[in-house]
Amino acid sequence: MNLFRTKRIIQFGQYAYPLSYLAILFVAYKWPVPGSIAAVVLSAGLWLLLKSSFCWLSKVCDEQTDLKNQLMQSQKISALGEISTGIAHEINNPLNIIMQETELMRVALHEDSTQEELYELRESLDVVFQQVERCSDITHKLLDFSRKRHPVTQTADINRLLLDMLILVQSETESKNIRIVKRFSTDIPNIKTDPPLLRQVFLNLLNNAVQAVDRDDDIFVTTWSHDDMVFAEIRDSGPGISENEIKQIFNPFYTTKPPGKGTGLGLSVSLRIVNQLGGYITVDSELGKGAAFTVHVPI
Amino acid sequence: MSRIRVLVVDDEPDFLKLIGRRLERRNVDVDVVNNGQEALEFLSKTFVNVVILDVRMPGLSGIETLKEIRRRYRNTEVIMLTGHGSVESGIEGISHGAYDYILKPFLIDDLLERIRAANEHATLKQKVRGGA
Ligand SMILES: Nc1ncnc2c1ncn2[C@@H]1O[C@H](COP(=O)(O)OP(=O)(O)OP(=O)(O)O)[C@@H](O)[C@H]1O
Ligand SMILES: [Mg+2]
Repeated sequence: MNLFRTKRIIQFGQYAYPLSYLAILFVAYKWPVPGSIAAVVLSAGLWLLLKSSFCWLSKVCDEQTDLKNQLMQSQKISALGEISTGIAHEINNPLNIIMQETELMRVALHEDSTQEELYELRESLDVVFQQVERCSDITHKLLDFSRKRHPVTQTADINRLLLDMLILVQSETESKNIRIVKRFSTDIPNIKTDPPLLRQVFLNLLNNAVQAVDRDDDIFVTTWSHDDMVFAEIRDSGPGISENEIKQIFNPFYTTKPPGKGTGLGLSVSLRIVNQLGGYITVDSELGKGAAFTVHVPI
Repeated sequence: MSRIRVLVVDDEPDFLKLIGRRLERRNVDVDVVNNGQEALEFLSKTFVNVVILDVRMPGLSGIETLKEIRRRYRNTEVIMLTGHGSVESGIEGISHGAYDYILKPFLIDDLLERIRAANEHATLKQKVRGGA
């Protein structure tokens, strides 16, 4: 390997280089003429050595760029595959139900359908309608995911934004007997951000937390600031997320929830939004130990 | 600065009368209508900065009305009004482009503050779009 050879040369050089100078100094001091010749020869030799290791290094850099491109391409393709599978899966479920229902309707609908059959027909139509609504919900989420957002920055108080969303969902959390524990830092500066986008992120994270704890548990909502960043953490005491899963939860359509309950777009949309606002989301979780999602946004 | 034009959409006449009067007193131009259909008709004739929209109305639902408003009038912001919030409905409204939510009952100052913020958002957005 080129990289390995280059490394050896440089490693060797770090001792040889200063030593050779000392040797030349010594020789030149004792015998000026042969000393000068030795100096010229040695410097030529060193030049050759460095030049060849430079060539090797450049080659290695090129190779690395190639590898990176290949990797990115294969990652892109596998992400695309995952997304396609997700979409297909999400749409196939309702399609399947619609197909079954229309078949039933075909049987029930004839010239002299009985009252009972007409009733069945109506029921089937209702189901078809519901499933079509489900499909349109999925396409809406997809469009929302890919929508080009133009964040508009306004001055906002992150505590206030979070509190608003907590109040909005309060009747639901209370009915599930979930206790929300707020630990808001009082000396957080106002931030420049797009409030409705941030609201969407907080609602998505709250939604996940509420679904994770289910009932009779605590959700801790904490805010703080550090340097030029503001942080909002939503921590639940639910089942937590395994290390393997953490790598996937931000992928669009990754979900562990039953069909109709989750589309797997909440986190991917949220991450996109937060990235557009100049921040990022971190996860702290272990299986059985709850999960914490932290939104980091610049001031 | 010019006055903010607001349209309140709710199916409760008493509420409309009250809020109309209270907002007028705070130097906001207010119009009120009873349902989503009327709101869309009103908007087709008059430009409005901020719409206050009840989530639950008979006929065209709050969300349906929101979708239409966002599609047709990009410079109009919408604040959803609800008596009973939930995570799901919150996500639905916000992801369809609502600027904010306010829970009934509310203080008029609170609503006013949100109206101002929503109006500022619309103005800034127009500028961003104009500049791009
Ligand atoms: N707080 C949490 N605790 C445990 N697991 C979580 C938590 N938040 C997210 N996850 C895992 O990450 C997955 C993806 O979350 P995401 O919000 O993207 O989609 P979803 O909640 O399944 O569906 P949607 O948000 O579209 O309704 C979830 O299905 C779940 O397995
Ligand atoms: Mg979710």
